[in-house]
Parts: sequence; structure tokens; C-alpha cells
Amino acid sequence: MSTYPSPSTSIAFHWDNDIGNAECIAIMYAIDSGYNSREALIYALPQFSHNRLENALTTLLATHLVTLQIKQLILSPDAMLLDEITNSPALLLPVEGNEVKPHFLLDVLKRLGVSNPGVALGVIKTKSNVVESK
Amino acid sequence: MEQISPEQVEASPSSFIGHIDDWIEYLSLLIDRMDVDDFAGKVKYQRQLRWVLGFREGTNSSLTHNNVIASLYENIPLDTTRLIDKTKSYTPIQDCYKKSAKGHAFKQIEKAMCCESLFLLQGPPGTGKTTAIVEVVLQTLMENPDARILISSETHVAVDNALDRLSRELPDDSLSMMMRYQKFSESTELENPLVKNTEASALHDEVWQEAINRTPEFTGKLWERLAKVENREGISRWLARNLADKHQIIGVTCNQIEHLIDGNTITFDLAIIDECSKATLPEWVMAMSVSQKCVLVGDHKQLPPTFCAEESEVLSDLDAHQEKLIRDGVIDRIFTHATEDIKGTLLTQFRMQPNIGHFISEEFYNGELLHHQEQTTDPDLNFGWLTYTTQKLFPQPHLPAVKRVLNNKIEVDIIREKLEELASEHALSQKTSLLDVAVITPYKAQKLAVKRMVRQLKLTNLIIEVDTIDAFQGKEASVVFFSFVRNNGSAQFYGDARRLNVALSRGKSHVYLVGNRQYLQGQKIQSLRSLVKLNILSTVNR
Repeated sequence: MSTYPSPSTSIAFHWDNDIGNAECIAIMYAIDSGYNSREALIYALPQFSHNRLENALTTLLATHLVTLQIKQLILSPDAMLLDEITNSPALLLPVEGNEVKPHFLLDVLKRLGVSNPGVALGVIKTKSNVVESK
Repeated sequence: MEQISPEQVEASPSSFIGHIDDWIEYLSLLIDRMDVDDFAGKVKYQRQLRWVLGFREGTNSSLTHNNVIASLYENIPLDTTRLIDKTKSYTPIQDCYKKSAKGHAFKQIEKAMCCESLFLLQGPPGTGKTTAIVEVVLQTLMENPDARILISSETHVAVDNALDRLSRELPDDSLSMMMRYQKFSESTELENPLVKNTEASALHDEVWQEAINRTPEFTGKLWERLAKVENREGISRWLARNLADKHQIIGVTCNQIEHLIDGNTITFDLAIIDECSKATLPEWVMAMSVSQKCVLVGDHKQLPPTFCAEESEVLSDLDAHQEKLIRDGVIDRIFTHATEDIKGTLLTQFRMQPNIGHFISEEFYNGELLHHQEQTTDPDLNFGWLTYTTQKLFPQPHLPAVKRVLNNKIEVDIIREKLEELASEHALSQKTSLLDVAVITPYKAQKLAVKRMVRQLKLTNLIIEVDTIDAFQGKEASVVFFSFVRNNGSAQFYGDARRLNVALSRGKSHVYLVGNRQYLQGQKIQSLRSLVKLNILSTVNR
């Protein structure tokens, strides 16, 4: 009796280039650590120029990773989790390559704990590879 | 709908766009032929190609530059009235210009300041190019204290010297507005040791230290996370770009500019490109592209860009006209066609003794140079021949071309004897300072032979630098030996007026010509024939 190998696909997540830069990441980490106003960010991040911090903050606001409420910057509850996911090794899932479609990815992100996978898919990129079984 | 024929979109070969296309062709060929393993070389040419393409497409900061250069290149009359603000007037800042505010040199600075787009400043040897650069920077800061200024050159030493000199003119607390990316060259002797604090590596440590002092726990976490963003030795690019934005005056070589630039970079108000005649077109285009105003400083009567063997091989595959244009550069052509209000020439030389300067002036600058110094050395003894007669031939013509080594032992011996004499004279004079001496030669093999000899000599009161002419451009020494090497065959290589100009204009007080005068007498090159007429200081028979 012959056995058929089960399909396997690796899926890696990466920040979109507009988010995966040092400025955006530094701002997310700073807000997460409680530096949640414009002044506090400038204080905590002397490595960065003001114009680059402003540009990065504009990007984070536009992608809803950060929101502004009464002069206070609020980090999306998904932001740090997405950063962890993008820094983790690729996931190996028992699916065919052609099954890796948006709705499937939304489901994967949801199972990983992302509360708003729709927004998440707008800021991360995925790379899937079919893994040949031996 | 009217269709555009290929003829309409193709640039005319004689236009500046045509010349840019020559460069694009050349760089593409070069990248194509490069060894797969030569990653660094490939990256360099790919970067140059990107910037040249950008300049051709007009993605640079000021399109006026493109138009001005294209007009000058093709010698199309240029209306400069909108490029010049003649209502401005300036008062000298540096003492050397205060002495004669109405002098020729300061007038050139004023012209550069009044020009709002592109200015070309020619600085013959020893005429104070660096001082002029510093004055332009100081005047720009006086006019606009927030101005962002880029100081660039194809060589590290030129950038180092300009920043070093500028740092001496600025108050110590103003050094915080400067950044040298990546660092000062080991070989540059800095007159202001404090300027080392402007190195990007020092600034890198400073900002991280500041962050740690303010928010230790968070900074530790961020450091670990950002290490994953970029895995690179030295300063990460993101930090380099942030540091560049945080500083007003940036010193960087042309080829490293891209490390500091991306879509979020604040453009520069002024770019000064030193030694522009030695830079290739992509190199000066890179610096020009990031600034609203540009001052090109150089001397097209000195050496054009140099090309390595690999580059030369690719160049030889282009047609002869393309090759010549790329090799010679276009600064000469642009400068010649520029109107007087967008160009200037510094005419007083401060480096050489008047008799040496006079020769340089007559041979290479139509007698226009003036000499600042008084003649303090004996003009019959400070500039002349240490010659020889011999039956030996250098190189040996019977050997196959690959085995013909261009070194000359007789000249090495003559230089050794004279160096020993100089060392004992200097010891007798009881001067405490060391005497700086340079031995320059057209050929690498002779450079190595002289270096070996100098190492064995161990003369403690002399500082002796040995180099090829091409590498010594931009430097100077009190005493210079020029070793010709050849006493047969073609003298065309060192007979090139631009190379001779550089070779002979490095010496402040003495220039010794070490060569076979008899052989040079037979050459048809005008400058060599003039040289032969100089005094014979000694003749030996070997």
C-alpha cells in the first residue's frame, strides 16, 4: 500500500516596507513603553530626526497602527503582536500553495491572536513557499 | 494621434543628454562584465547608474542645474539674469579676505554667493581653494543660519581638509552642526583635533548614550529590536540618514552620499564639490542632485578622473569619441563655455616660491597667476635638474612589453644622496620642526623602488612621502623630487600638460627634477622643452 505525503506550505510574514523601517518600529516600541505624546517620543528617541519621526508617525496613523485620542497616541492592540509575528520563523501549514489566499491568511492571523486581521493584512506582506516533502 | 518617431526621443550624440547616455552605456557594460563575486564593485557602479539615470530623468533637487549644464555643454547662450542676484553684497569673514575686501579672490566669493544655481570656481595649484570653500560656507551660514550644506569630493582627503579648516573658523560649540560621514581618513593630519568629534561613529555613540541616559530600559529593548532591522557592520543606514538630517553641515565623499539620502531626506541648500575635475560625471552628479545650489570647485588644468584597468578595458570598447569624453570629463568644456558671472578663477598662488610659480603660470595658465610670497630661496638652486648621463636604458626596450618595468635605479640613487644631504643640512640648521619632503613619479614601480630606499634610509628629521603624481594631486610638500624614470621611448604619459602641472606645482620651496635631461631635450612636448631650459644643479655619470 502506498502512502501519499501530506501537502505543506511555509508562510512568512514581513512588515510592509513603509512600516518595517527603524523609525516606525521605534515609535511603536516607544508608545508601547508609555512614551505616548509627540514630546515624549522626541525625548525617548534622540537617535531620530524630527522630520523622520513625523513622517513615520503619519504613516502609522494612516495605517491605524497608531491612533490619536486627545493628544495621546494609542498603539493598536495588534501592533506589537504583528511585530512578533513578522520576526518569527515561517509557519509550516498543511495546505496546498494555491490555498494561501486572503481569507485563509485572515483566518491564520485571527488564530494567532490578531484582533483586526483586515487591518493587519494592509500592513504586512506574506511570502509562501510550497515545501517539498521527502 | 501623432506618433513619436524613435528619432524624436533619441538624444543627439553631441548633446549633454547624449553624453549622459554614453555614461549609461558605459556603466551598464561595466556592471555586466563585472565578476559575480565583486559585490562591492557592482554596488558602486549600480549606484552611479541609478543617479545618472535619475539626473537624466530630472529627479534631482534643482532642474535648473540640468538646464545650465546642458546649455554650457552645447555652448548654447544662457540667460543668466535669473540665476544671479546682483543686489546682494558681502563683507569678508575670514581674516585673509578682510585684508583686501575688494581683492580678486573675494570678488570670486561674492560672485559665487550671488549665483543662485550653479557656480564654477577654478582654483589653480595653491590658490586657496579650501579657504574659498570655507568662506562660501561661512557666508551662506551668515545669510541663512539654518542652511543645510553638503561638502563633497571624490577623495576623502579633500573632504577632510575642508571640514578641518572650517572647524577652525567656527566657534567650538558650533562643531555640533557638523558631521563627517563616515570618518576622517587615517592619513589626514587634522589641525583641529576636536573635529574628530564630528565623525558619524562618534555621533552614533553620542545619540545612543543620550537615549540610554534618558530611558535606559526602553533603549535597551529598542537596541535589540533595531539590530534586526539592518544587519551591517558599523553605522546602520537608518541611523546615518537620521544623523545627516540632524546636522547642518555634512562632509561626505561623492560615492557615499547615497548612504545618507532617501525619499525623506531634507534637501541641501548648498553643495560644494571639491576637486570636481578629478571626479567622474556620476560622482559630481550625485552631490549636485541633492542640493538647490551647487558650487563646483576644481581645476581642469590639472588631472582628469583616473580609471582602473577594468574600467579602461570597458571604455576601450566604446567608440573613440565616447571614450575620450568620459576619460577627460566635461568640466573643462562647461567651464570654458560658462559666462563670467557664473564662473571664477582664483589667481594668486600662496604655495610656491615665485620662480616655481612663474613657471607654472607661464606654462599652464597663460601667465595669469600672481604670487603671494617673496622669493626667499635662491632661484638658481631651488628649481632645477639633478640629471645624469648613462648608457643604460630605462625601461629596457629589448624586453617584451609585459616585462618592461618602469623603475630607474640611477634616479633612486640620486634621490637618496640628495635626501641625505637635505637631512644633514636640516640638522645643521637646528630647526626643531621636521622637513616635509615628497618624492613623486609617474610610475608605480618607481614609487615602490623609492619607498624601499626611503625605508632603509631612516632619516629622522625628514617626513618623506612617496607617491605617484596622480595620487599626490591636492597635496603639497616643502621639497619635491620629481623622478621621470624613462630615458627612452615615449614621454607622452608624463608629458601630458595636466600631469606635469600637478607634478611641478606640489613643492613649496624646492622642486628637484630627477631625470635624463638629454633624453627629454629630444621630446617634442612643449612643456618638457621648457623644463629642459631650467638650471642644471648636478650631473652624474653612471
